[in-house]
Amino acid sequence: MGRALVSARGVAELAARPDTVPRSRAPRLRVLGVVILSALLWAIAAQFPALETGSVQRLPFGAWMNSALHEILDCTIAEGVSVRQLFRALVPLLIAPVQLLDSVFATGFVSGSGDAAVQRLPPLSWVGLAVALGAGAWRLGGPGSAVWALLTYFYLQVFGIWPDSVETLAQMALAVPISVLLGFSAGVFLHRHPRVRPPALTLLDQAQTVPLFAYLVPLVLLLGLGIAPAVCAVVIFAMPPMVRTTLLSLDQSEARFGELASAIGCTARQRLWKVLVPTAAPLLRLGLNQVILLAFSSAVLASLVGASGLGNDVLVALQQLAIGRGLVAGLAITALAICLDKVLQGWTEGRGRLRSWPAWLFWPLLVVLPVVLTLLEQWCPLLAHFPAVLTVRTTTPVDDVVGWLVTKLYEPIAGLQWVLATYLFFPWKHVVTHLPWSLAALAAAGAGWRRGGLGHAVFLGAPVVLMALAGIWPQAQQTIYLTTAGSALALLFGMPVGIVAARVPGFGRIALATVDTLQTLPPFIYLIPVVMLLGSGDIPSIIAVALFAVCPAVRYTEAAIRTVPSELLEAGLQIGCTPSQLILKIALPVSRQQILLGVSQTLLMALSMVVVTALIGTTDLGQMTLTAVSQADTGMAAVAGLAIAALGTIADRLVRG
Amino acid sequence: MRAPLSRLLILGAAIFAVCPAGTGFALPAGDSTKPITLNVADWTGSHITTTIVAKLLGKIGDNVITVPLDGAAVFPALENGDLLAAVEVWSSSQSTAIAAALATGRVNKLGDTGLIGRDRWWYPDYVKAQCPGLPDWHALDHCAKLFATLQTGNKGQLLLYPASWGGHDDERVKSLGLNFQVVRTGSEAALLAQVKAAYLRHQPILAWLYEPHWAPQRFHGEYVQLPAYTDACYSSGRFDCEKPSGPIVKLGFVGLAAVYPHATKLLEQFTLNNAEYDAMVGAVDVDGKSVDAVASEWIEQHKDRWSPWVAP
Repeated sequence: MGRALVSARGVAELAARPDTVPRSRAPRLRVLGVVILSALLWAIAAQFPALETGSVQRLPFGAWMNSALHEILDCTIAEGVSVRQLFRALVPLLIAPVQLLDSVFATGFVSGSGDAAVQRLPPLSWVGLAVALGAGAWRLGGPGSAVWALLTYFYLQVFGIWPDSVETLAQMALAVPISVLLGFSAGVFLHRHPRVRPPALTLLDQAQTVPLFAYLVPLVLLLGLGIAPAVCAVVIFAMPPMVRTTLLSLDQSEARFGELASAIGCTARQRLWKVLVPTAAPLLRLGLNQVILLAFSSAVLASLVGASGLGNDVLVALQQLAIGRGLVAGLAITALAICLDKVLQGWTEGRGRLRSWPAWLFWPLLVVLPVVLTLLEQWCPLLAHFPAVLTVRTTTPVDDVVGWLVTKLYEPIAGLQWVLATYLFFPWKHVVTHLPWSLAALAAAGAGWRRGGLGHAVFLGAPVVLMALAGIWPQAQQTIYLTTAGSALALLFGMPVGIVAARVPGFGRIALATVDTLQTLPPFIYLIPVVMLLGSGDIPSIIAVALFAVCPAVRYTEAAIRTVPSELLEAGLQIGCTPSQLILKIALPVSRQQILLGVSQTLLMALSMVVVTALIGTTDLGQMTLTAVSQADTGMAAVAGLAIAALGTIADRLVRG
Repeated sequence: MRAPLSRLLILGAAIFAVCPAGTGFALPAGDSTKPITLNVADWTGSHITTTIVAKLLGKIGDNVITVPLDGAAVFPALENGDLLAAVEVWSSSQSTAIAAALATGRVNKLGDTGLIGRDRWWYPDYVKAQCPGLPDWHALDHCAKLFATLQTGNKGQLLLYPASWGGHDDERVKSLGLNFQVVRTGSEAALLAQVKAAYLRHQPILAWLYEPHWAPQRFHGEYVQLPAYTDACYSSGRFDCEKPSGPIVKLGFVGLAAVYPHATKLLEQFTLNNAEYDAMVGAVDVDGKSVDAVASEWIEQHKDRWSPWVAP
C-alpha cells in the first residue's frame, strides 16, 4: 500500500520534471542553425590564413611575462624589503617542523659537520614506532585505521623506504593542514561575499590546470629549494577542492538551517560554528578527502623543486626503467594517502573516541614505550634496525611481468591501435587541427553570451584571440585534440562503470577503490609501460590522458546516479520501464547537472594531464610549457600554462552552459 | 598547563641555539658550518658523481645537503645562491643555458669534470642483419621502411630526446637526404622505454643515445657512422655531420669561494674519466648495486687521486 503511494507520487513527480519531458522542436532548429552557420564561417575562415591559424601577428607575450616577473620579485614593499626577501623570511617557518619530524622518525639528531658528525640522539626504535603508530591511529580513527596504519608501516619497512616516506609524510603533514585551513577560510569568505565568487572560482580552476612547470622558476626564485617551494606547490594544487566543498556545503546548510539560525538569534560567529559547520560536516569531510588524495598525488611534483622523498624515488626509478621499484614507491604514496585519509576521517567522525582508551594506557604507549625501547637499543641491537631478513630489495618480478606483457601483448595491441588511429583518432585530429581560431573564439564568446551577457562573452572569447596573437593556436589545437579524444575515451568507459557502481554496491566499492588508487598513483608509473607498449605519439598520450581522467568520470557519475530519488526509479518500474530505459530516460536526465559537472571535471583532469603526456612526446601546449621551462624561458612557460587553464575554463562553460 | 609548555619551548630553542655554536671548533680550514647544497639530477651518473663529491666534502669536515632538482630549476637556483654547486652539467645539451648563466656574472665555472659527452644515433645489433651496409649512414636510406611506425607512415622513425636538448637533427636528416621523420620524446625515460621495448621485441629502432650512459652498456648495439664533425659543417647550417662532443663541466655560485674556500678548492680539482664513470653507472644500473656502495668503493680505490684534492 505504502509502496504504491510512493510510486504514485513518483509518477506525478516524473511527469512534472521538465528535464524528463521530451523537448520541443524549436531548440533542435536552433542547433541546426548554429551548425550551418559554423560550417559557413569555417569555410570562409579557411580562405584567410589570418583567421585560421593566426600566424600574421605574433606578440611577445613571453618576454613581457619575464620582465613583469622580475619587476614583481624586486618590488619593494617596505624600506629595504623586497617581495623576494619577504618570502625568504617565511621559509624557516616551513622548514623547521619538517626537519624535526624527519629527525625524530628517521635520521636522529646529529651534531658536528662532515665526517666528524656524531649522532647525539638516535631516531625512535622501529618497534616503538610501530606501537606508537598503532596506538595513535586507533585513538584517532578507530581499530580499522590502526590496522591500515600498521600494514602500511610494515610495507614501507619491508621495502626499505621508511626514511623516504618520513620525508614525504612530513611535507604532507605541513601541506595538508595548510590546504585545509586556507581552503576553509577562503570558502567561508566566499560564502559571505558572493560578489567575489566568479573571479575567485575561475582562479581556482586555473590553480588546478596550470601545470607546475609554468610557475616552477618563480617558485624557486621566491622560496629557494627544497621543502618550502615543494609544500607551496602542493598547497596550490590540493587546496581548490577544499574551497569548493566548503562553499557548497555552507550554501546548502544556509538554505536549510539559515532561517532557523536567524530565528533563534545567533551571532555571526555562532551561526557559522554552531549551526552551519556541524550540519555541513559530511561534505567538508569529502573536501578533506580530496585534499589528501591530491596532495599525495603531487608528491612527484615536490621532487622537481628539491624536496626528496617517495616522489623522487618514483622519478629516479622510472628514469632507470626500474618499473618495479617505481611501483613500490608509487604504491607507498597511495597507501600513505589512504591511511591518513582513514585516520582523519575516523577522527572527524569521532570513531576513535567511542572506544576511548584510558589515559594511563594510551600516553605510555604513544610516548613512553617508544622512548624506552629506543634507549634499550644499546643492549638490544634488534630494536635499532628493522631485521634485514624481513626486507625485500628486489623488484625484478614486476619488471619481468612488464617485459612479458610488452612482448606478448604487442601484436594484438598494435592491431587495435592501428584501427583506432586510422578510423577514429586521426580523422578527429584532422578536423581539430583545421579548426580556425576565429570560429573557436566566436563559439567561446557565444557560450559566454548565453550564460551571462557581454562580460562573459569577452571573458571566454578573449583568451582564444590572445592565443592566436601569441602564435600558439596550433599548439592549442593539438591540446584540444588530445584532451577531447582522451576525455571521450574516459567518459565512454567511466560513465557505464559509474552507473553500474551506483546500482551494484559490491562492484561500486571495488570500482571506487580502484579509482582512488589510480588517482593518487603518480601518472609516470603507468606512462612508461604505456610507452613501451605503444611507442611515441598521439595514441599513448590519449590513453594516458584517459587513464587519469577516468577517475572523475566514474566518481561523479556514481554520485549523480546515487542521488536520484528512489521514488522516481520505482515509479519508472511501475510504468514498465526496462532497466536500460530506467537509466537512459529517468536517472540520466534527472541528474543531468551533476553528470555535466562530471564531464567538465573529466575535461579539466584531462587538461591537467597534458603536461605529463608531454613527457611522452607531444606537440601541444604541455610540450611548450616543458620546453620553455627547460630553456629557462619563464615567460613563455607561463603563457603556455595559462593557455591550458583558459582552455579548461572555456570547456567548463561550454559543457555546463 | 601553558607555563610548562612555554618553558619547554624556551629550553628547546636554547638547545638549538647552543648546539651549532658548540660544534664550531672542529672546523679545520675555515669553511662555514652551514651545509653546502648540491643538486642531483634524475640520471644515475649524476647521483654517483654528486655522492662522491659529497663524501669527499665530508672528509674535509663540510656538511652537504643534496637536493633532487628539475633541470630547469638548476640555473636560477645557482644564480640565486640557493644551489651552491652543480657537479655535472652537460655542455653537449645545455650550452645555451650555461652561457646565459655565466653571462649573469652570478655563476662561475669550476672547471671540467674530465668527462666527455657524445651524442650519436644508435641501433641494436640485430638490425645489422636486416640492413646490410650499416654502420655507414648511406645504408639507412634503403632500410627506412624497417624503422617506420604508425605515426611516421612510409618514412623511417628517428627517435630523439626532448626538443630542448637541441642537436639539429631535423636539419641533419634533411641535408643528408634521408627518408626519415624525426620524432621527439618528451623525456629521457620515454625514449629509453621505447628502446628497451623494441630491444625486447627484436624490432628495429633508430634512436639518439649518448655516452657515458648505462643504456649502450645494457643494450647491445652500434652507432651510425656519420661524416666526421667539422666547424664548417655546423657554421654552414647544414649539420650533415656528427655532433660535436661536449665536455661535462662543474658550475658554482659566485659567493661559494668566500664562504667555503676549502670546498671550492676540492670542487675545482675533482675529475673523473669516461671509463670509470661508465663502469660505476653500469655497476648501479646493470648489476644493481647501490649508489652509495659504488661511490664508497671508488673513494677506497682512488685515495692517491683525491688526497691532494682534500689537502688544506
